[in-house]
Amino acid sequence: MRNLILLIKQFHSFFIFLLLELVCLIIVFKNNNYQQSSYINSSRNVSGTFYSQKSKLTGFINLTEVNDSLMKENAALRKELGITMDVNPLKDSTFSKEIHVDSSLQTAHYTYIPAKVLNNTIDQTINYITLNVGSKQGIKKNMAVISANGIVGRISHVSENYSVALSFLSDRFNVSSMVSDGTVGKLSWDGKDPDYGILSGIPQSVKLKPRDSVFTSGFGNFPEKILVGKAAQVLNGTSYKIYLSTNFRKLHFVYVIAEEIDLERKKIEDSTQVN
Amino acid sequence: MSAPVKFVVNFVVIMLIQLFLLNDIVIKSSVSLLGIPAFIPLIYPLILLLMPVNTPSWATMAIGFFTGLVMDFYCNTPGMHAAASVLLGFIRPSLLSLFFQQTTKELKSVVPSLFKMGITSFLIYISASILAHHLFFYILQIWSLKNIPFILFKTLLSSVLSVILILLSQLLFAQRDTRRG
Repeated sequence: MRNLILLIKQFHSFFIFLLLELVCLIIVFKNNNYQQSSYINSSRNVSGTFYSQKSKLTGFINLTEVNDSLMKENAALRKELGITMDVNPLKDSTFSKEIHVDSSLQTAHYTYIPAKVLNNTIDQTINYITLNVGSKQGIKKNMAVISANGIVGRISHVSENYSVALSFLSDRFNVSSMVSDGTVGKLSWDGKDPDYGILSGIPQSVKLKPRDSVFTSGFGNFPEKILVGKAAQVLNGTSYKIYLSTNFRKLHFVYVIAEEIDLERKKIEDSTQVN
Repeated sequence: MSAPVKFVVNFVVIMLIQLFLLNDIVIKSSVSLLGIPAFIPLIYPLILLLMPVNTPSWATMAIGFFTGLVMDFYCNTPGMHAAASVLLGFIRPSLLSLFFQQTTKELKSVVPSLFKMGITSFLIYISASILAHHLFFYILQIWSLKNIPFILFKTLLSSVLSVILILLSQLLFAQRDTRRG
């Protein structure tokens, strides 16, 4: 017993090292599977508040860029709705009726919750995006997040005022996507270049040309027909390098899709998974 | 300034620089550099590296654990920064004893700095600690045998930038003292 105490006394720093390292590694590997919610994340009130203050302080730097992207999005939406400059949809009652009929068919059960990006990383193997909306605004786990240009990720942690989304730029984040003729493949990220994704599982009979568009298939978290990117390069017969349409370096505003029907489906799908 | 006050000031300033500026450095640079993977410099180990020489190793490890955990909360990397910092806290005393001839008891509360240690010793001390810290961090983060060259490449990129920034910060803020430790 005395020898044991002496041993511990002599190597006490080594034992403390082992103990602390063990604690850290338990935290690391317990949360390696990102479906488990970790307690350590930036949706916590302290870190969330810090990031929202930071965004207030540094937000003005990107104002021109944000304005430009919002203008572009507005223009694209106007084009989609067929609004020309000489028609004012607010005054023209026949016009707004037309939109009403259209939207009830198209987006009946999608509600878009706008959110501001407080923090975003692209340099890790599993990247997260901190958003300024939380359970108060109706955010729930597993909701899809998109930007004006394409897919972004899905919500992984929610607190009262903040939430954290798992970015598409993450190891093992797969998006079921399809090319223009309806062939479905799997889009994932290789962990290196934040501008490119890898589309795999496309049969050899289907040949993608460079600049062919790739959309979401609607089988996963994301609604159907959201632009994902454009084919850039053939890797081998069945996989392609895709230039992503979302610029993850300039992510300022995103939309969380609150989709009531599919949340129920997601619940059933999740319950079948072993881990 | 007394040692605890100095430590708290160091901690807050370095953490703010890390979280405000350096974590965003990749996001703000909007061009990808010829296919080089996105990386950020990590200078927060400086909090541990600039502690007085006679700090016992249990204290550096405990502070490393705490500092790493704060980083983990902000960066969504549960446990990884903490594990790397604890390792740094553990190897720091043995690294320091390589460069200071006197025993750590005689030196008391000398703070290792560029001007006390001289450029060569300081550079080796900083580079060795940063390399060990970054390597362990990226091994934990990437965690795949297939990607060993990628781990080494990213460690090297990040370490070089971190060391340059630490040297710059020393030139700007360290007390100029010609006495060699």
